[in-house]
Amino acid sequence: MWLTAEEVLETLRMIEAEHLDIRTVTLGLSLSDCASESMTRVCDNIRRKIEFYGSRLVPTAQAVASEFGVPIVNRRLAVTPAAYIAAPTGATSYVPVARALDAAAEALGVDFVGGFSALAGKDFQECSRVLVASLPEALATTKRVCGSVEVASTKSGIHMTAISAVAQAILEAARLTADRDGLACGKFVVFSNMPEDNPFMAGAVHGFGEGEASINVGISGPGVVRAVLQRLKGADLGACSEAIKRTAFKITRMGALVGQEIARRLGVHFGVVDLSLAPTPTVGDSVAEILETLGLERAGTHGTTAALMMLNDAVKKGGAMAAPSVGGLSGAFIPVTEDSAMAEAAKLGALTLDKLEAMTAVCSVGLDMVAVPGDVPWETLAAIIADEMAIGVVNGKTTGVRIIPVPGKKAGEVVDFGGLLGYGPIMPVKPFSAAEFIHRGGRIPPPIQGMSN
Amino acid sequence: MSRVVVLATGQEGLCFPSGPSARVVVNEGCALLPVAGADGHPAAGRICQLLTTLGIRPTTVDTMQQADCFVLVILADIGDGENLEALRHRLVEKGREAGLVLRIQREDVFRAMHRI
Repeated sequence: MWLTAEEVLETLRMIEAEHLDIRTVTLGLSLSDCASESMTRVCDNIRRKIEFYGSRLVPTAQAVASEFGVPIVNRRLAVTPAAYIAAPTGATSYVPVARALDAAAEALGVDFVGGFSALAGKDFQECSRVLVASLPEALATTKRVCGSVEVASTKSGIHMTAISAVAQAILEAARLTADRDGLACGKFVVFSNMPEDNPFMAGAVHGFGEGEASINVGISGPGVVRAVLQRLKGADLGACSEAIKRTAFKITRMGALVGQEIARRLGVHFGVVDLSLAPTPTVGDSVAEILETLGLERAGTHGTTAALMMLNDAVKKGGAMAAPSVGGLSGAFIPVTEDSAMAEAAKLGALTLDKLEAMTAVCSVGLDMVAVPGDVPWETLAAIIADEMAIGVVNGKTTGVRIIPVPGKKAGEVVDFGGLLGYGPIMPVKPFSAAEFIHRGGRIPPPIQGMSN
Repeated sequence: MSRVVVLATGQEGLCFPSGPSARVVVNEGCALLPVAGADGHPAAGRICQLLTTLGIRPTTVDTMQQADCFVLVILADIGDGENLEALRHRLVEKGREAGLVLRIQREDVFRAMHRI
Protein backbone atom coordinates (compact mmCIF):
# COMPACT_ATOMS: atom_id res chain seq x y z
CA MET A 1 0.00 0.00 0.00
CA TRP A 2 1.27 3.45 -0.94
CA LEU A 3 2.53 5.64 1.85
CA THR A 4 0.79 8.97 2.19
CA ALA A 5 2.53 12.30 2.29
CA GLU A 6 1.20 12.74 5.82
CA GLU A 7 2.90 9.55 6.95
CA VAL A 8 6.18 10.49 5.34
CA LEU A 9 6.10 13.91 6.91
CA GLU A 10 5.18 12.51 10.32
CA THR A 11 8.33 10.43 10.25
CA LEU A 12 10.43 13.33 9.07
CA ARG A 13 9.01 15.58 11.77
CA MET A 14 9.87 13.02 14.43
CA ILE A 15 13.45 12.80 13.25
CA GLU A 16 14.17 16.38 12.40
CA ALA A 17 12.13 18.41 14.84
CA GLU A 18 11.49 16.05 17.75
CA HIS A 19 14.94 14.45 18.21
CA LEU A 20 13.99 10.88 17.27
CA ASP A 21 17.12 8.85 16.77
CA ILE A 22 18.78 5.55 17.41
CA ARG A 23 20.60 6.37 20.62
CA THR A 24 22.98 3.47 20.42
CA VAL A 25 23.89 0.54 18.24
CA THR A 26 25.85 -1.73 20.53
CA LEU A 27 27.88 -4.67 19.34
CA GLY A 28 27.88 -7.35 22.02
CA LEU A 29 30.92 -9.61 21.94
CA SER A 30 31.81 -12.72 23.85
CA LEU A 31 35.36 -12.60 25.17
CA SER A 32 35.16 -16.08 26.67
CA ASP A 33 37.83 -17.39 24.33
CA CYS A 34 40.20 -14.56 25.30
CA ALA A 35 40.88 -15.99 28.75
CA SER A 36 44.45 -17.05 29.47
CA GLU A 37 46.84 -17.50 32.39
CA SER A 38 48.95 -14.70 30.94
CA MET A 39 47.67 -11.14 31.38
CA THR A 40 49.61 -10.05 28.29
CA ARG A 41 47.92 -12.75 26.26
CA VAL A 42 44.48 -11.86 27.64
CA CYS A 43 44.97 -8.25 26.54
CA ASP A 44 46.26 -9.24 23.10
CA ASN A 45 43.36 -11.64 22.63
CA ILE A 46 40.86 -8.94 23.59
CA ARG A 47 42.31 -6.44 21.14
CA ARG A 48 42.35 -9.02 18.34
CA LYS A 49 38.82 -10.21 18.94
CA ILE A 50 37.36 -6.73 19.16
CA GLU A 51 39.15 -5.71 15.99
CA PHE A 52 37.98 -8.84 14.14
CA TYR A 53 34.30 -8.36 14.93
CA GLY A 54 34.17 -4.62 15.43
CA SER A 55 36.23 -3.08 12.66
CA ARG A 56 33.20 -2.62 10.39
CA LEU A 57 30.79 -1.47 13.11
CA VAL A 58 31.23 2.28 12.72
CA PRO A 59 31.28 2.49 8.90
CA THR A 60 28.36 0.08 8.63
CA ALA A 61 26.28 2.05 11.11
CA GLN A 62 27.11 5.27 9.28
CA ALA A 63 26.10 3.78 5.92
CA VAL A 64 22.78 2.45 7.25
CA ALA A 65 22.03 5.76 8.98
CA SER A 66 22.63 7.61 5.75
CA GLU A 67 20.57 5.28 3.54
CA PHE A 68 17.64 5.08 5.95
CA GLY A 69 17.78 8.73 6.95
CA VAL A 70 17.82 7.87 10.64
CA PRO A 71 20.51 9.36 12.90
CA ILE A 72 22.55 6.86 14.91
CA VAL A 73 24.04 8.84 17.77
CA ASN A 74 26.43 6.30 19.32
CA ARG A 75 28.20 3.12 18.24
CA ARG A 76 29.34 1.09 21.23
CA LEU A 77 30.71 -2.22 22.42
CA ALA A 78 29.58 -4.51 25.23
CA VAL A 79 31.72 -7.46 26.25
CA THR A 80 31.65 -10.45 28.56
CA PRO A 81 32.08 -9.37 32.20
CA ALA A 82 35.84 -8.88 32.32
CA ALA A 83 36.38 -10.40 35.76
CA TYR A 84 35.84 -13.88 34.38
CA ILE A 85 38.15 -13.40 31.39
CA ALA A 86 40.97 -12.17 33.60
CA ALA A 87 40.37 -14.71 36.40
CA PRO A 88 42.84 -17.37 35.15
CA THR A 89 45.70 -14.84 35.33
CA GLY A 90 45.56 -14.80 39.11
CA ALA A 91 46.46 -11.09 38.90
CA THR A 92 45.79 -8.73 41.78
CA SER A 93 44.71 -5.94 39.42
CA TYR A 94 42.67 -6.03 36.22
CA VAL A 95 43.58 -2.51 35.17
CA PRO A 96 45.57 -3.84 32.16
CA VAL A 97 42.34 -5.40 30.86
CA ALA A 98 40.58 -2.04 31.13
CA ARG A 99 43.41 -0.40 29.18
CA ALA A 100 43.22 -3.07 26.48
CA LEU A 101 39.48 -2.50 26.17
CA ASP A 102 40.03 1.25 26.02
CA ALA A 103 42.65 0.95 23.27
CA ALA A 104 40.49 -1.42 21.24
CA ALA A 105 37.47 0.89 21.53
CA GLU A 106 39.53 3.89 20.49
CA ALA A 107 40.89 2.03 17.47
CA LEU A 108 37.34 1.26 16.36
CA GLY A 109 36.09 4.82 16.90
CA VAL A 110 33.41 3.87 19.41
CA ASP A 111 32.80 6.17 22.35
CA PHE A 112 32.24 3.59 25.10
CA VAL A 113 32.87 -0.07 25.81
CA GLY A 114 30.90 -1.69 28.60
CA GLY A 115 31.80 -4.84 30.45
CA PHE A 116 34.48 -4.09 33.00
CA SER A 117 32.07 -5.95 35.18
CA ALA A 118 31.45 -8.69 37.72
CA LEU A 119 28.56 -10.53 39.32
CA ALA A 120 28.53 -10.56 43.10
CA GLY A 121 24.88 -10.89 43.98
CA LYS A 122 25.35 -13.65 46.48
CA ASP A 123 29.05 -13.59 47.32
CA PHE A 124 32.45 -12.64 45.94
CA GLN A 125 34.53 -14.91 43.79
CA GLU A 126 38.16 -13.92 43.97
CA CYS A 127 37.98 -12.45 40.47
CA SER A 128 34.95 -10.30 41.28
CA ARG A 129 36.72 -9.02 44.39
CA VAL A 130 39.77 -8.10 42.29
CA LEU A 131 37.61 -6.38 39.70
CA VAL A 132 35.90 -4.21 42.31
CA ALA A 133 39.31 -3.30 43.77
CA SER A 134 40.52 -2.40 40.26
CA LEU A 135 37.51 -0.22 39.46
CA PRO A 136 38.77 3.18 40.69
CA GLU A 137 42.01 3.13 38.70
CA ALA A 138 40.41 1.42 35.70
CA LEU A 139 37.66 4.05 35.45
CA ALA A 140 39.95 6.97 36.21
CA THR A 141 42.73 6.11 33.77
CA THR A 142 40.63 5.12 30.77
CA LYS A 143 38.34 7.26 28.68
CA ARG A 144 35.92 4.77 27.15
CA VAL A 145 35.67 1.92 29.62
CA CYS A 146 32.43 1.51 31.58
CA GLY A 147 32.02 -0.81 34.54
CA SER A 148 29.20 -2.46 36.40
CA VAL A 149 28.73 -4.84 39.30
CA GLU A 150 25.63 -6.83 40.16
CA VAL A 151 25.29 -6.84 43.93
CA ALA A 152 21.73 -8.10 44.30
CA SER A 153 19.04 -10.14 42.62
CA THR A 154 15.58 -11.42 43.37
CA LYS A 155 16.99 -14.94 43.50
CA SER A 156 20.06 -14.23 45.60
CA GLY A 157 19.09 -11.33 47.84
CA ILE A 158 21.24 -8.28 48.56
CA HIS A 159 24.95 -8.78 49.08
CA MET A 160 25.63 -5.99 51.57
CA THR A 161 29.36 -6.71 51.81
CA ALA A 162 29.68 -6.19 48.06
CA ILE A 163 27.70 -2.97 48.33
CA SER A 164 30.18 -1.70 50.92
CA ALA A 165 33.12 -2.53 48.66
CA VAL A 166 31.47 -0.88 45.68
CA ALA A 167 30.57 2.26 47.66
CA GLN A 168 34.20 2.67 48.71
CA ALA A 169 35.33 2.12 45.11
CA ILE A 170 32.95 4.84 43.93
CA LEU A 171 34.37 7.33 46.43
CA GLU A 172 37.92 6.43 45.43
CA ALA A 173 37.11 6.78 41.72
CA ALA A 174 35.69 10.24 42.48
CA ARG A 175 38.85 11.19 44.38
CA LEU A 176 41.08 10.05 41.52
CA THR A 177 39.13 12.25 39.09
CA ALA A 178 38.60 15.20 41.42
CA ASP A 179 39.95 17.52 38.71
CA ARG A 180 37.02 16.40 36.50
CA ASP A 181 34.34 16.59 39.21
CA GLY A 182 34.49 12.85 39.87
CA LEU A 183 33.59 12.03 36.28
CA ALA A 184 34.89 8.44 36.51
CA CYS A 185 31.79 7.57 38.56
CA GLY A 186 29.61 8.46 35.57
CA LYS A 187 31.01 5.35 33.87
CA PHE A 188 29.93 2.93 36.56
CA VAL A 189 26.64 1.34 37.59
CA VAL A 190 25.79 -0.97 40.45
CA PHE A 191 22.88 -3.27 39.62
CA SER A 192 20.22 -5.52 40.97
CA ASN A 193 18.95 -8.07 38.43
CA MET A 194 21.49 -6.94 35.85
CA PRO A 195 20.28 -7.48 32.27
CA GLU A 196 22.65 -9.41 30.00
CA ASP A 197 21.74 -7.63 26.78
CA ASN A 198 21.55 -3.99 27.77
CA PRO A 199 22.89 -1.77 24.97
CA PHE A 200 22.97 1.41 27.07
CA MET A 201 25.96 2.66 29.03
CA ALA A 202 27.25 2.59 31.58
CA GLY A 203 25.73 -0.81 32.34
CA ALA A 204 26.14 -2.61 29.01
CA VAL A 205 27.56 -6.12 29.15
CA HIS A 206 27.43 -9.17 26.90
CA GLY A 207 26.09 -11.82 29.24
CA PHE A 208 27.08 -15.45 29.53
CA GLY A 209 23.87 -16.60 27.88
CA GLU A 210 24.46 -14.47 24.80
CA GLY A 211 25.92 -15.67 21.52
CA GLU A 212 29.34 -15.03 20.05
CA ALA A 213 28.37 -11.60 18.75
CA SER A 214 25.12 -9.69 18.39
CA ILE A 215 23.75 -6.25 17.70
CA ASN A 216 21.47 -4.65 20.29
CA VAL A 217 19.79 -1.33 19.68
CA GLY A 218 18.62 1.40 22.03
CA ILE A 219 16.10 3.87 20.66
CA SER A 220 15.34 7.31 21.94
CA GLY A 221 12.24 9.35 21.47
CA PRO A 222 11.21 11.43 24.47
CA GLY A 223 10.80 14.46 22.21
CA VAL A 224 8.41 12.55 19.96
CA VAL A 225 6.27 11.38 22.88
CA ARG A 226 6.16 14.87 24.29
CA ALA A 227 5.10 16.34 20.93
CA VAL A 228 2.29 13.78 20.65
CA LEU A 229 1.06 14.70 24.14
CA GLN A 230 1.24 18.41 23.37
CA ARG A 231 -1.31 17.77 20.63
CA LEU A 232 -3.61 16.10 23.21
CA LYS A 233 -4.16 19.06 25.51
CA GLY A 234 -7.04 18.27 27.86
CA ALA A 235 -7.40 14.62 26.78
CA ASP A 236 -7.88 12.09 29.55
CA LEU A 237 -5.00 9.87 30.64
CA GLY A 238 -6.40 6.80 28.89
CA ALA A 239 -6.20 8.66 25.60
CA CYS A 240 -2.68 9.83 26.47
CA SER A 241 -1.63 6.25 27.15
CA GLU A 242 -3.04 5.11 23.81
CA ALA A 243 -1.18 7.86 21.96
CA ILE A 244 2.09 6.94 23.68
CA LYS A 245 1.57 3.28 22.76
CA ARG A 246 1.07 4.10 19.10
CA THR A 247 4.14 6.32 19.09
CA ALA A 248 6.28 3.73 20.87
CA PHE A 249 5.21 1.16 18.30
CA LYS A 250 6.39 3.34 15.44
CA ILE A 251 9.74 4.30 16.89
CA THR A 252 10.46 0.74 17.97
CA ARG A 253 9.74 -0.52 14.46
CA MET A 254 12.28 1.97 13.20
CA GLY A 255 14.87 0.78 15.73
CA ALA A 256 14.29 -2.88 14.91
CA LEU A 257 14.60 -2.25 11.20
CA VAL A 258 17.88 -0.37 11.54
CA GLY A 259 19.32 -2.86 14.03
CA GLN A 260 18.43 -5.85 11.89
CA GLU A 261 19.98 -4.27 8.82
CA ILE A 262 23.24 -3.49 10.62
CA ALA A 263 23.38 -7.01 12.05
CA ARG A 264 22.77 -8.48 8.59
CA ARG A 265 25.58 -6.46 7.05
CA LEU A 266 27.98 -7.36 9.85
CA GLY A 267 27.04 -11.03 9.65
CA VAL A 268 26.07 -11.29 13.31
CA HIS A 269 22.81 -12.04 15.08
CA PHE A 270 20.31 -9.32 15.90
CA GLY A 271 19.65 -9.33 19.62
CA VAL A 272 17.12 -6.93 21.09
CA VAL A 273 15.63 -3.48 20.90
CA ASP A 274 15.82 -1.72 24.24
CA LEU A 275 12.58 0.26 24.49
CA SER A 276 13.94 2.83 26.91
CA LEU A 277 13.13 6.49 26.41
CA ALA A 278 16.61 7.97 26.82
CA PRO A 279 16.84 11.73 27.27
CA THR A 280 19.77 14.03 26.53
CA PRO A 281 20.61 17.45 27.95
CA THR A 282 19.15 18.99 24.78
CA VAL A 283 15.98 20.95 25.48
CA GLY A 284 13.04 19.05 23.96
CA ASP A 285 14.68 15.66 24.42
CA SER A 286 13.58 15.14 27.98
CA VAL A 287 11.56 12.60 29.95
CA ALA A 288 10.84 15.25 32.60
CA GLU A 289 9.27 17.43 29.91
CA ILE A 290 6.90 14.56 29.06
CA LEU A 291 5.79 14.43 32.69
CA GLU A 292 5.34 18.18 32.72
CA THR A 293 3.37 18.06 29.47
CA LEU A 294 0.99 15.63 31.17
CA GLY A 295 0.18 18.41 33.62
CA LEU A 296 2.77 18.41 36.37
CA GLU A 297 4.18 21.84 37.11
CA ARG A 298 7.59 20.29 37.68
CA ALA A 299 8.87 16.73 37.50
CA GLY A 300 9.13 15.41 41.02
CA THR A 301 5.99 16.99 42.37
CA HIS A 302 3.12 14.87 43.67
CA GLY A 303 1.69 12.78 40.83
CA THR A 304 5.06 12.20 39.20
CA THR A 305 5.24 8.53 40.11
CA ALA A 306 1.78 7.87 38.68
CA ALA A 307 2.55 9.75 35.47
CA LEU A 308 5.85 7.92 35.06
CA MET A 309 4.17 4.57 35.65
CA MET A 310 1.69 5.27 32.87
CA LEU A 311 4.43 6.47 30.52
CA ASN A 312 6.64 3.47 31.18
CA ASP A 313 3.80 1.01 30.78
CA ALA A 314 2.52 2.55 27.55
CA VAL A 315 6.00 2.56 26.01
CA LYS A 316 6.41 -1.13 26.82
CA LYS A 317 2.99 -2.09 25.48
CA GLY A 318 3.54 -0.23 22.23
CA GLY A 319 7.11 -1.35 21.78
CA ALA A 320 6.70 -4.99 22.68
CA MET A 321 4.55 -5.67 19.61
CA ALA A 322 6.88 -3.81 17.30
CA ALA A 323 10.16 -5.63 17.72
CA PRO A 324 11.11 -9.27 17.21
CA SER A 325 12.72 -9.26 20.63
CA VAL A 326 12.91 -6.63 23.35
CA GLY A 327 15.36 -6.56 26.20
CA GLY A 328 17.91 -4.49 28.04
CA LEU A 329 16.39 -2.04 30.47
CA SER A 330 13.29 -1.15 28.45
CA GLY A 331 11.70 1.67 30.38
CA ALA A 332 11.92 5.41 30.82
CA PHE A 333 15.33 6.72 31.91
CA ILE A 334 15.42 9.39 34.56
CA PRO A 335 19.07 10.48 34.69
CA VAL A 336 19.17 13.78 36.52
CA THR A 337 22.14 15.50 34.89
CA GLU A 338 21.45 14.05 31.43
CA ASP A 339 17.92 15.49 31.32
CA SER A 340 17.83 19.28 31.41
CA ALA A 341 14.28 19.53 32.78
CA MET A 342 15.06 16.87 35.39
CA ALA A 343 18.13 18.85 36.46
CA GLU A 344 16.08 22.03 36.64
CA ALA A 345 13.43 20.30 38.77
CA ALA A 346 16.15 19.09 41.13
CA LYS A 347 17.62 22.57 41.29
CA LEU A 348 14.23 23.99 42.27
CA GLY A 349 13.76 21.34 44.94
CA ALA A 350 10.80 19.72 43.20
CA LEU A 351 12.81 16.58 42.57
CA THR A 352 14.59 15.06 45.55
CA LEU A 353 16.60 11.91 46.06
CA ASP A 354 13.66 10.38 47.94
CA LYS A 355 11.24 11.12 45.09
CA LEU A 356 13.68 9.73 42.53
CA GLU A 357 13.86 6.55 44.56
CA ALA A 358 10.07 6.25 44.51
CA MET A 359 10.03 6.82 40.76
CA THR A 360 12.48 3.98 40.21
CA ALA A 361 9.88 1.56 41.52
CA VAL A 362 7.84 2.11 38.37
CA CYS A 363 10.44 2.55 35.65
CA SER A 364 13.75 1.04 34.70
CA VAL A 365 17.26 2.16 35.55
CA GLY A 366 17.19 3.49 39.11
CA LEU A 367 19.08 6.41 40.57
CA ASP A 368 20.89 7.62 37.49
CA MET A 369 23.46 10.38 37.12
CA VAL A 370 22.80 11.75 40.57
CA ALA A 371 25.48 14.12 41.85
CA VAL A 372 25.93 14.26 45.63
CA PRO A 373 28.36 16.12 47.92
CA GLY A 374 31.95 14.91 47.68
CA ASP A 375 32.26 14.50 51.43
CA VAL A 376 29.44 11.94 51.63
CA PRO A 377 30.47 9.06 53.96
CA TRP A 378 30.91 5.77 52.12
CA GLU A 379 28.40 4.17 54.47
CA THR A 380 25.77 6.67 53.31
CA LEU A 381 26.55 5.84 49.68
CA ALA A 382 26.24 2.16 50.53
CA ALA A 383 22.89 2.75 52.22
CA ILE A 384 21.57 4.67 49.19
CA ILE A 385 22.63 1.77 46.97
CA ALA A 386 21.08 -0.79 49.34
CA ASP A 387 17.74 1.03 49.31
CA GLU A 388 17.70 1.05 45.53
CA MET A 389 18.69 -2.60 45.30
CA ALA A 390 15.82 -3.47 47.65
CA ILE A 391 13.34 -1.89 45.24
CA GLY A 392 14.70 -3.99 42.38
CA VAL A 393 14.94 -7.22 44.34
CA VAL A 394 11.46 -7.16 45.79
CA ASN A 395 9.82 -6.10 42.52
CA GLY A 396 11.72 -8.62 40.39
CA LYS A 397 13.09 -5.87 38.19
CA THR A 398 16.36 -4.23 37.29
CA THR A 399 17.46 -1.24 39.29
CA GLY A 400 20.79 0.49 39.11
CA VAL A 401 22.66 3.28 40.84
CA ARG A 402 24.98 5.63 38.99
CA ILE A 403 25.92 8.17 41.62
CA ILE A 404 28.68 10.73 41.54
CA PRO A 405 30.17 12.18 44.73
CA VAL A 406 31.61 15.45 43.43
CA PRO A 407 34.84 16.25 45.27
CA GLY A 408 34.90 19.67 46.88
CA LYS A 409 31.28 20.48 46.12
CA LYS A 410 28.37 20.79 48.50
CA ALA A 411 24.61 20.41 48.16
CA GLY A 412 23.06 23.15 46.04
CA GLU A 413 26.16 23.82 43.98
CA VAL A 414 26.09 22.93 40.29
CA VAL A 415 28.30 20.49 38.39
CA ASP A 416 28.79 20.45 34.62
CA PHE A 417 30.15 17.20 33.18
CA GLY A 418 29.74 18.36 29.59
CA GLY A 419 28.43 16.49 26.58
CA LEU A 420 25.81 13.80 27.02
CA LEU A 421 26.50 13.52 30.75
CA GLY A 422 25.09 17.04 31.15
CA TYR A 423 24.91 19.25 34.21
CA GLY A 424 22.87 19.53 37.36
CA PRO A 425 22.74 20.41 41.00
CA ILE A 426 24.50 18.55 43.79
CA MET A 427 21.61 16.85 45.57
CA PRO A 428 21.60 16.68 49.36
CA VAL A 429 21.80 13.37 51.20
CA LYS A 430 20.40 12.76 54.66
CA PRO A 431 22.71 13.91 57.45
CA PHE A 432 21.79 10.94 59.64
CA SER A 433 24.13 7.97 59.69
CA ALA A 434 23.42 4.44 58.44
CA ALA A 435 26.93 3.29 59.34
CA GLU A 436 26.00 0.74 61.98
CA PHE A 437 23.52 -0.92 59.64
CA ILE A 438 26.01 -1.03 56.78
CA HIS A 439 28.88 -2.32 58.97
CA ARG A 440 26.83 -5.42 59.76
CA GLY A 441 27.65 -6.65 56.24
CA GLY A 442 26.59 -10.09 55.11
CA ARG A 443 23.65 -10.74 52.85
CA ILE A 444 19.99 -9.87 53.05
CA PRO A 445 18.31 -13.14 52.00
CA PRO A 446 16.19 -13.24 48.85
CA PRO A 447 12.57 -12.28 49.32
CA ILE A 448 9.81 -14.84 49.07
CA GLN A 449 9.12 -13.51 45.54
CA GLY A 450 12.41 -15.11 44.52
CA MET A 451 10.99 -18.58 45.15
CA SER A 452 9.14 -18.68 41.88
CA ASN A 453 10.00 -22.19 40.69
CA MET B 1 14.47 -2.89 -8.73
CA SER B 2 14.31 -1.13 -5.33
CA ARG B 3 11.87 1.38 -3.97
CA VAL B 4 12.85 4.73 -2.54
CA VAL B 5 11.15 7.82 -1.17
CA VAL B 6 12.24 11.19 -2.43
CA LEU B 7 11.54 14.52 -0.76
CA ALA B 8 12.39 17.86 -2.19
CA THR B 9 11.58 21.37 -1.08
CA GLY B 10 12.22 24.83 -2.19
CA GLN B 11 14.95 26.74 -0.38
CA GLU B 12 12.41 27.84 2.20
CA GLY B 13 12.18 24.24 3.38
CA LEU B 14 9.62 22.28 5.29
CA CYS B 15 7.84 23.92 8.15
CA PHE B 16 9.13 21.91 11.08
CA PRO B 17 10.47 24.20 13.78
CA SER B 18 14.04 23.06 13.31
CA GLY B 19 13.60 21.08 10.14
CA PRO B 20 15.73 20.99 7.04
CA SER B 21 14.54 22.25 3.75
CA ALA B 22 14.12 18.99 1.93
CA ARG B 23 14.62 15.29 1.71
CA VAL B 24 14.58 12.41 -0.73
CA VAL B 25 14.29 8.83 0.44
CA VAL B 26 15.43 5.56 -1.28
CA ASN B 27 15.17 1.74 -0.72
CA GLU B 28 17.30 -1.07 -2.15
CA GLY B 29 15.60 -0.97 -5.53
CA CYS B 30 12.93 1.64 -5.09
CA ALA B 31 12.77 5.08 -3.59
CA LEU B 32 10.30 7.35 -1.87
CA LEU B 33 10.59 11.00 -2.75
CA PRO B 34 8.78 13.70 -0.77
CA VAL B 35 8.93 17.10 -2.41
CA ALA B 36 7.90 20.44 -1.01
CA GLY B 37 8.05 23.86 -2.54
CA ALA B 38 6.20 27.12 -2.43
CA ASP B 39 5.55 26.94 -6.15
CA GLY B 40 3.26 23.91 -5.74
CA HIS B 41 2.27 21.53 -8.51
CA PRO B 42 4.49 22.92 -11.26
CA ALA B 43 7.45 21.71 -9.19
CA ALA B 44 6.31 18.11 -9.52
CA GLY B 45 6.80 17.81 -13.25
CA ARG B 46 10.13 19.59 -13.07
CA ILE B 47 11.41 17.33 -10.32
CA CYS B 48 10.14 14.11 -11.90
CA GLN B 49 11.90 15.07 -15.10
CA LEU B 50 15.06 15.75 -13.13
CA LEU B 51 14.81 12.36 -11.39
CA THR B 52 14.40 10.59 -14.70
CA THR B 53 17.64 12.07 -15.98
CA LEU B 54 19.37 10.44 -13.00
CA GLY B 55 17.83 7.02 -13.65
CA ILE B 56 15.29 7.39 -10.82
CA ARG B 57 11.89 6.33 -12.09
CA PRO B 58 8.99 8.01 -10.24
CA THR B 59 6.02 5.66 -9.83
CA THR B 60 3.64 7.43 -7.45
CA VAL B 61 3.20 11.03 -6.41
CA ASP B 62 1.30 12.31 -3.37
CA THR B 63 0.73 15.85 -2.23
CA MET B 64 -0.26 17.82 0.83
CA GLN B 65 -0.20 21.35 2.12
CA GLN B 66 2.30 21.82 4.93
CA ALA B 67 1.67 25.27 6.42
CA ASP B 68 2.55 27.66 3.58
CA CYS B 69 4.40 24.98 1.67
CA PHE B 70 3.13 22.61 -0.98
CA VAL B 71 4.64 19.21 -0.24
CA LEU B 72 5.21 16.59 -2.89
CA VAL B 73 6.09 13.02 -1.99
CA ILE B 74 7.33 10.75 -4.75
CA LEU B 75 7.74 7.00 -4.65
CA ALA B 76 10.34 5.97 -7.16
CA ASP B 77 12.32 3.00 -8.39
CA ILE B 78 16.03 2.74 -8.74
CA GLY B 79 18.01 -0.11 -10.24
CA ASP B 80 19.32 -2.98 -8.15
CA GLY B 81 22.87 -2.33 -7.10
CA GLU B 82 22.51 1.40 -7.60
CA ASN B 83 24.92 3.24 -5.31
CA LEU B 84 22.61 5.32 -3.17
CA GLU B 85 25.36 7.56 -1.84
CA ALA B 86 26.53 8.44 -5.36
CA LEU B 87 22.94 8.99 -6.42
CA ARG B 88 22.37 11.28 -3.47
CA HIS B 89 25.35 13.44 -4.42
CA ARG B 90 24.18 13.77 -8.00
CA LEU B 91 20.66 14.57 -6.83
CA VAL B 92 21.84 17.26 -4.44
CA GLU B 93 23.88 18.83 -7.20
CA LYS B 94 20.97 18.79 -9.66
CA GLY B 95 18.64 20.14 -7.01
CA ARG B 96 20.96 23.00 -6.26
CA GLU B 97 21.05 23.94 -9.93
CA ALA B 98 17.23 23.93 -9.93
CA GLY B 99 16.95 25.99 -6.73
CA LEU B 100 15.71 23.02 -4.70
CA VAL B 101 17.05 21.11 -1.78
CA LEU B 102 16.71 17.40 -2.60
CA ARG B 103 17.31 14.35 -0.48
CA ILE B 104 16.72 10.66 -1.07
CA GLN B 105 16.47 7.71 1.31
CA ARG B 106 15.24 4.15 1.42
CA GLU B 107 11.52 3.65 1.75
CA ASP B 108 11.91 0.97 4.45
CA VAL B 109 11.76 3.20 7.53
CA PHE B 110 8.49 4.80 6.47
CA ARG B 111 6.93 1.47 5.64
CA ALA B 112 8.13 -0.08 8.92
CA MET B 113 6.68 2.77 10.95
CA HIS B 114 3.34 3.08 9.21
CA ARG B 115 2.50 -0.40 7.89
CA ILE B 116 2.32 -3.80 9.58
